[in-house]
Amino acid sequence: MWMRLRAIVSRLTFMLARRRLDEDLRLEIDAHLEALTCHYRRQGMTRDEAYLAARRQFGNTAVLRQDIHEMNGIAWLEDARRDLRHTIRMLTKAPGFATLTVLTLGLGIAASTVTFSVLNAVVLQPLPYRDPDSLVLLWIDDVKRQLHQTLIPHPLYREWKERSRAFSALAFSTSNTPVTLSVSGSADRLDAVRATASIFAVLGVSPIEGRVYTAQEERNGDSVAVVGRALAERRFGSAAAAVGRGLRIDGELTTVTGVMPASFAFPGREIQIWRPLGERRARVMGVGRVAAGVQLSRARQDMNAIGRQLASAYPELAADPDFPGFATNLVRLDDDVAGRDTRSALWILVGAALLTMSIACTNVGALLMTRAAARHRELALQIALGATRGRLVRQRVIESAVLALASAIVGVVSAQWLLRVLVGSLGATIPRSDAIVLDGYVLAFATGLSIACCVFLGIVSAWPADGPSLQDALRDAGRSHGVGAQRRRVQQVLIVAEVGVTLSLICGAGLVLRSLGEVRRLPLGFDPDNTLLFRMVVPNEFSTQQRRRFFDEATSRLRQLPGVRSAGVIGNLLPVSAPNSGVVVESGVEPTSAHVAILDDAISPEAFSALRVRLLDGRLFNHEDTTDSTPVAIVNQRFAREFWGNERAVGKRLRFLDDRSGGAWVTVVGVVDDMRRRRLEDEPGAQVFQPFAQAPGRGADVVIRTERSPLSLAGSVTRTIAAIDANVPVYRMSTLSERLDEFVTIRRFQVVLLSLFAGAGVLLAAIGIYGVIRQDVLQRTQEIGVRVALGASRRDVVNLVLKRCLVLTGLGMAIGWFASLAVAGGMAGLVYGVSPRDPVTFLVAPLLLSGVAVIACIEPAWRALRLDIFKALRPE
Amino acid sequence: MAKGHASHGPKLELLQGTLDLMVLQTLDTMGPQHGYGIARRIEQMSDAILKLNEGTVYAALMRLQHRRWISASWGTSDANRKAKFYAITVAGKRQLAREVEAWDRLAGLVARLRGAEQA
Repeated sequence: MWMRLRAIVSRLTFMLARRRLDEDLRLEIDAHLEALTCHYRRQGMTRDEAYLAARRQFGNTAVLRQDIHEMNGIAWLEDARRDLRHTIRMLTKAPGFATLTVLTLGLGIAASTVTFSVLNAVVLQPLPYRDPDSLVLLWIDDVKRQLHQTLIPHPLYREWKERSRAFSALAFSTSNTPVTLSVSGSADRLDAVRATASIFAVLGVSPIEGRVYTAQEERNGDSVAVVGRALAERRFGSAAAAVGRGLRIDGELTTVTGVMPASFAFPGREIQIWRPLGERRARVMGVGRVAAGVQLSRARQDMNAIGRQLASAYPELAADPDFPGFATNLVRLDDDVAGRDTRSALWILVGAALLTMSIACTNVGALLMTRAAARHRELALQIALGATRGRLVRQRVIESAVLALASAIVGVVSAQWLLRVLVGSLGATIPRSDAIVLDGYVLAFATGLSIACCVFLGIVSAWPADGPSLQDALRDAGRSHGVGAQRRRVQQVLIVAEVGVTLSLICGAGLVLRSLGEVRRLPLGFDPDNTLLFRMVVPNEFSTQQRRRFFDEATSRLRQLPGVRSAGVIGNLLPVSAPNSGVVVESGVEPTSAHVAILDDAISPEAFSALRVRLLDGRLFNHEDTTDSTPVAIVNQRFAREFWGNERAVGKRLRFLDDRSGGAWVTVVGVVDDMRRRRLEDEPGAQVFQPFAQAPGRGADVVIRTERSPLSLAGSVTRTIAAIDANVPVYRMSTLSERLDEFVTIRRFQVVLLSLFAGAGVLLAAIGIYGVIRQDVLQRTQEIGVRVALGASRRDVVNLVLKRCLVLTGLGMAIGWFASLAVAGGMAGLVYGVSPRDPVTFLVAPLLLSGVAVIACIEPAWRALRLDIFKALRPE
Repeated sequence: MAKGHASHGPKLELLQGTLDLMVLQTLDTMGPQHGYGIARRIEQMSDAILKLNEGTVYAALMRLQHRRWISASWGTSDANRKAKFYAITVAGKRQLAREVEAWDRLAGLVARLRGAEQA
């Protein structure tokens, strides 16, 4: 092996000096022959005799020079280089073919690469934690309210930490609890959590600067925080500068102990501040590292057993109707991050990308066959001149490799560009979109794909080379008999398949597009147009009275701004987390499901009008509903139906299970329309509202109905609030329509990508059809000439061409139509509001494709019409 | 084609090796020489028992250069002409010693076998 390698290296070095060595050898041979001739002449020979004797003595100079020439080189490399030159010459002679092939394959590679990089980042790549496979999230399933994966209440998690044996370490964190960061005269709202000190060790991530807070500091209740890199850089200039500095968080001076890397994003990407959980009785989420050798199912059993122990240890909690219960729910962390929705959506996209790729390959296959037909005579000539079959195959392989390489470059470059556009427009709401980059894995994928292309191209283009015998080839020389006809049949089969696949893609894109339309058309229960939405949070130390006054003053000042029609507040218009209220209703029927999830909120009277919510019965709140008056509530239609059935809800009473309103009975004064405030596809649940004046929270969403473009008011709104109290941060400001768009991001993502693929498919199919029909017309030149000579009209000629086109596409579409039905069945999870056999989609798609097919035939038909019949009929 | 070398039978392989050995031995004994000089020397010493195609000397010289057992440089011949001179390298001397030893052992074996036969 070593010797072999050394021999190759030596051959390579000699090859570099080869021209000189060959020249040296020529001189040496000449000198040698001359010397020998002299030698023989001295022995008494004549000049000619001496010369001949010298030649005889020396041997064949040509063979010697050839032998030595070959000794100083690597034969296959030489041949490959020669073939490469030949290939490039051939390709530049057919620039149309080369460009079309490279663009087509490049498009396919780009589509697949883009999809793969998204898949790679979101699903395949490991999370940025140490050994992420053994990490699980811990939740409580609220069996009573049928809520899955809710936060863990105190004291369960403290008990778990003591009792659990299945985990090598456990850590807990609150869900995102934004804090106010005051900076000399202004306030900033930042996403933050409180977490046990163990969280960093459990996830296995170290800070880039400083240190994380310790269990000791957590026990002491020290005011310390670990911050995200983005915050550190924004506030202190660099991560290193942040360590040891102070931050005023919710009015409390806190010392920064360390800075986490930008990739650290637990429990959410937005979190920038981590502070010790300490002895707080918060509701938390858990993350644990399963002990080595313990199966997830074992851990589940273990936790269930602990749940049963705790239920008997805390009978008072078990009896508390507000307590979510003891049932644990363990999910692998990576399953949780890329949610099921995203996953299935992505796999569909992968399918679509592969279909696009297959269309591209089919197209190129057809192109290559056309080219092979044209090169028939050239090949025959090469065979006649002694090219071996191996040599011909090698040429084809090299040609394929050149084409595949060029396509790979085109594909990867356009993928890079597409990704930037895609992540830029949709990124923020796709999980882990920051990890979507062209990394080594993606490049490896693209390379693999290109090699597959190369093999495919090689096989397709080498295939007909086996067919013709030498005589056939020379005699036939590209005429339309024998092998030509067979090749055309194969091409037509390819086109039929291509049309079928394209139709499936169009149908898929059509279905997701229609679903998006349906979701968008769902009645929201409010009017999102011309509405500005933002959030404000008052400082901790504000009393209930101060909160009420602040929000009152803020909304009344906002109402006076020019361009504002109405402004109101609501606790949380579009809540992210699950609802949590329990209510008892007076004299109602049993609700249809035993425990209805209820969304409850405080709302000011103006918010209803700003949102244009329809009042169905009774009255809205007014300014007489204050702390001093009777506590009142408004429910939505769903609530009324669930609890009171057909009875009138207005006048009925209900009671909140928590201590709000001192446990007093609350009278329902009105019924409003159902608002879709969470996933748009879900039917709105039961909702109950209290007057904001009777239950003001620290934070609230402000809803402003504007006369003109809502965002144009952003500046004056921010200034107005700052004028009242500079310590109240105004954040998450956007139009309500924008916020609703986020609910459909995944759908939009699907629509954009699938439409892209379908568009590419249609384009490729059009090119394919055009190529085949054009070839057909060319090969039937004589036939068409004869027909015209026998009196066929122009119309007959056009029909002839169109018929061929429609038969091919029609056949493809018939097959594709049934295939699409099957594909649509698999997409049922993505389709909303329309049947997976949606008649509109399945009617429009074939019509669209037929239209494209006809357009693709125009040029060949025109060519057939302009045929010069004298030329056409003249024998070659 | 370069492939040809590998497909030669063992007999030719031996002959080729023998020529290489003779060229190495010549250069070792006589110091730097040009191709013609080497051919003359081998012809002289062989006493016409060896029918040598002198061109093959050049093939042998190229092979030996590939193995780095000899080196080549241009110089001036006795006849005051430009000629390429070949010289044995240190690695070449080592190789020569190895080959001569192998050759002697082989010759010794053959001699012993013949001796045993005669006895």
